[in-house]
Amino acid sequence: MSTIKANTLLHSDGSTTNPPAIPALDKRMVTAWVSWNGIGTVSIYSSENVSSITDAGVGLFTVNFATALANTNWVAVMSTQENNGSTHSSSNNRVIGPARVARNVNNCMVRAANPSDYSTRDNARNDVLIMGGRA
Amino acid sequence: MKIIYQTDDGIAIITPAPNCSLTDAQTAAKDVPTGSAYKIVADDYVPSDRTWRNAWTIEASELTDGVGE
Repeated sequence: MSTIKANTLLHSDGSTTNPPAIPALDKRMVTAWVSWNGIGTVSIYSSENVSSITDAGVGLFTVNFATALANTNWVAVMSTQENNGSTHSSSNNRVIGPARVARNVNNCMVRAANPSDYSTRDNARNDVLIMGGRA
Repeated sequence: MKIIYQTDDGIAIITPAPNCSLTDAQTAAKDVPTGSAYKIVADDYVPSDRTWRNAWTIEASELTDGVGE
């Protein structure tokens, strides 16, 4: 057994944005993720392997992958935060989950709802993380 | 920058990811459904008050910037 000790691991081109391939570990790494503001003017806080989000209505969004996934065996993990401030308009937390549609390799449709009545709601922060879907 | 297109239920509004290397035109071509006409607008073209979000509409004649591929 050998151990590699290094402070920095770069692609052979020296880029700090072009990641080096680690085939044996790729399937354990995040495939795509995004965090966005869904109230007021919709905006993306940060993301990776996401080209855009589509606002389809109150609480209804699609996460579009920058690079299509290799297959539909992916897992979506999601969370929301109703407001950025210290107060909020109701005592209900928000839930977010995949919309009830056929999954595909290009995007993930999600729906944020109020668990008290399952009506769709906008949130200050919507976070989606995708694992899997790799060859 | 936003990309707007019509859906069966109203309109959809695409927000490109700031750190994505695709151009606005490439994002529009890729993320707008195939065959749907779209319009590219400034952020402030879209109302920030989402109270009536599900009632928003756009004239089809305004969607002249391209078609989803």
